[in-house]
Amino acid sequence: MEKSKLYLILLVVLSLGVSSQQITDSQRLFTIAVSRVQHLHILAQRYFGNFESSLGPDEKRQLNKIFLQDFCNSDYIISPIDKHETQRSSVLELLLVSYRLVESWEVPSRSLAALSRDQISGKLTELKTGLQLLIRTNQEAAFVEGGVALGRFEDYDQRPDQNLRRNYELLACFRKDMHKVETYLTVAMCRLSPEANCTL
Amino acid sequence: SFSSIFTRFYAFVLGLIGTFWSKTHSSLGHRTHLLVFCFAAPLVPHFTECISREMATFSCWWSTGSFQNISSPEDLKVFYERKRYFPGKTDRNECPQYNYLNQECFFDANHTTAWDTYCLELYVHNVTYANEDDCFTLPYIDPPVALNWTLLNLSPSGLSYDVLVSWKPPPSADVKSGWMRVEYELQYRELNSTKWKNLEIQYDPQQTIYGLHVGREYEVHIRSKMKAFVKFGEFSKSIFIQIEGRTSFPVMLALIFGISGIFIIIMFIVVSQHQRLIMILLPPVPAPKIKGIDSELLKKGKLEELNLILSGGGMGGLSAHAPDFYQDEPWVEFIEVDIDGADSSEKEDNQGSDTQRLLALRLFWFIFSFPDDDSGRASCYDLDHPDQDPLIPMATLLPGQPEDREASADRDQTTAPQTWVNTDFYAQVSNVMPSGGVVLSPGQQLRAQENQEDAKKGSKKETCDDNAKDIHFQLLVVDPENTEIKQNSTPSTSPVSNEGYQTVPLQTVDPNPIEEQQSPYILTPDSPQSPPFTPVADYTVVQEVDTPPPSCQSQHPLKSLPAMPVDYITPDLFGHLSQ
Repeated sequence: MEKSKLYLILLVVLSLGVSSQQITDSQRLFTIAVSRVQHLHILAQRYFGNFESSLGPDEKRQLNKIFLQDFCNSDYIISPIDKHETQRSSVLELLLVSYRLVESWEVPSRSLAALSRDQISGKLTELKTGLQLLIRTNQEAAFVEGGVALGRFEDYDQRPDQNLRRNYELLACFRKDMHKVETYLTVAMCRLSPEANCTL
Repeated sequence: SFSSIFTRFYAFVLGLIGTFWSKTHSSLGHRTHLLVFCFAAPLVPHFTECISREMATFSCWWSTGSFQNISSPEDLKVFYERKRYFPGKTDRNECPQYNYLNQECFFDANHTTAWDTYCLELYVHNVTYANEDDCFTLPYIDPPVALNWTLLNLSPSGLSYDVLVSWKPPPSADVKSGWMRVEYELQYRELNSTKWKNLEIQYDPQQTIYGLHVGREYEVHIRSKMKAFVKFGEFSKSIFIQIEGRTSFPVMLALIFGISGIFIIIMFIVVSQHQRLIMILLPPVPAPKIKGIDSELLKKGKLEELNLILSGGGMGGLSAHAPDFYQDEPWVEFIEVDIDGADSSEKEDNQGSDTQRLLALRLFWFIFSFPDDDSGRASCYDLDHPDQDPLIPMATLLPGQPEDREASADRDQTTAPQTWVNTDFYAQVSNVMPSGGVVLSPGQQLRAQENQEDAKKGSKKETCDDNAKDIHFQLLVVDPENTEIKQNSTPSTSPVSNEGYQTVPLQTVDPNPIEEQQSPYILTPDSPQSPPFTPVADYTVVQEVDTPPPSCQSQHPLKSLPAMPVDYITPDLFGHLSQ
């Protein structure tokens, strides 16, 4: 009887230790992932700003109109759309949707000159790996990888200046998705460790 | 009519200005303001601004333009299209909450989605006024504005001071949950200047302003924006900072003068007392010195004079009558050896004390103490004779020169207190054999044996006998396996003595700890296997000689030339000795 009690206590202590270790690991991984995605978002903003400043105002307006009619490639991924939904989602759900969003940009980011120059694809892969680790530490079930269908980029318009429009849409969607991922990961991190300075 | 023509002309001009204006500004899709300018048309109702303060709700304000006959609320409607992927391409809805007084349309949280694009339309008198510029995505709308802040740290340092400004994030922005990430930009200026100074954009809700001048008033304000976005919000209300500096000015001046004066005085003192300060702060390291002996003698190797000094004139040769070479250096300390501890244990364990005495305490070559202070004394000394020479511990085997040996032999037999100078206990390798053996030259050992035999014949006190037997060693051949270790306390039985030189097989010195392997020159009394002493393979065993009082003649002095420069004990040897 005494022995079993002792074992029980040991088990509890061990599990506490393990879980606390997991928690600190999770915090650390989150911090890294959040900083990486923030960096990516800043880069996305910069790329889009540079691209936009190279356009004339007419071009801008036209492209904007077209962009409104179109959807981003990653729009088929169901993600929280507002603050309420985001806060209602669990950490694991946020991680999963972030993972899918990041993965959906791995291949298209190679096709853009600006993105490929700064090795955006590599950074996305890194971020994806980090998210995988986070997902594993936040769930017991095995994570089913892959299976995310990358939809083809639909061209509604067959106008000759495909390249310009395609670039505009790619950059705008990339920026939007990076902001999404940044927001999801930051909300998840601040929820897990409220003592972390979430103003940073 | 004239008025209508004028109105149209006015509208035309305005329209021209408007097109130029719109050409230089980008579309709203990623900017804040809705600016609608029509070309050659009256001003139509349009939206002026859309703002979201917390990325969960937003508001849009419209203007009726030049339309005059919009009186009742039913005349104007606001519709919006929102591009959503799943419910279909777009859905068109009416404004959820009108505020006709402010001409504002408010979208609450239920109708706000963060990453969708909104396009607003105005519907007046069954006519829809819409513009591509009226479309925007929520995150790109202006960030919140209102900030609270306080002034904290004031650290005056004379004529200028630093200020730590801190503030809270905008109350509407949910920074705590991570939903929004806000960064800030601080600006400050002197009141009488028009140019604002910008500080770096940062995320911390506090910042230090450096280098504000005492007596001037400053104005500070701040604005915020969402991180990684472009547009800033509006500036907050300003705060004013001023530090009174009249009273502090003369104090600081006086302080500066005082400090510089003190500094000058200190420099003066340092310069004038240069030498003394050097002596106090950096005293010369006392080199080992023998009292009464000029170190130059040692360096030059003048053995005869040295022997003369040490032995000459009896006991007091060195102590009292010898010229004091160091009288002008009062700080010179002569390190003295204390051999009382070794002596007390001598009777108990002759063999152990042998080694102990020899190696533990008496092998400080730089220690020559003389019986004026705490001099170590051998047991056979008479305590009534304070001037007797103490045991002089050192003995080394150095290649003796025949003439000196003989000379010292003569002297030994004639003069009672026989002193010798041995300043080193490193052996001198005189030859290296092709087989790898090393030839050391233990010339003094021969001398030791001769003297001992002579001394034995001579009369000696009983008390000295023990000492005589105990305190001498001989060089022994030692193998790594310690098979050939011999100890000889009587010279006659020593097989080695017949040889002039001994070959010592080269032994690799392993850096093993003492416990594992008997280092050749470690003698631990309690080691069972090894003899009381293990002679050094690479170095010779030091031989101990003491200068007996006139009645003790059993000791056999050894002499060695200080052919090698006086040296120190190696650290490992010292460590072993101190065990």
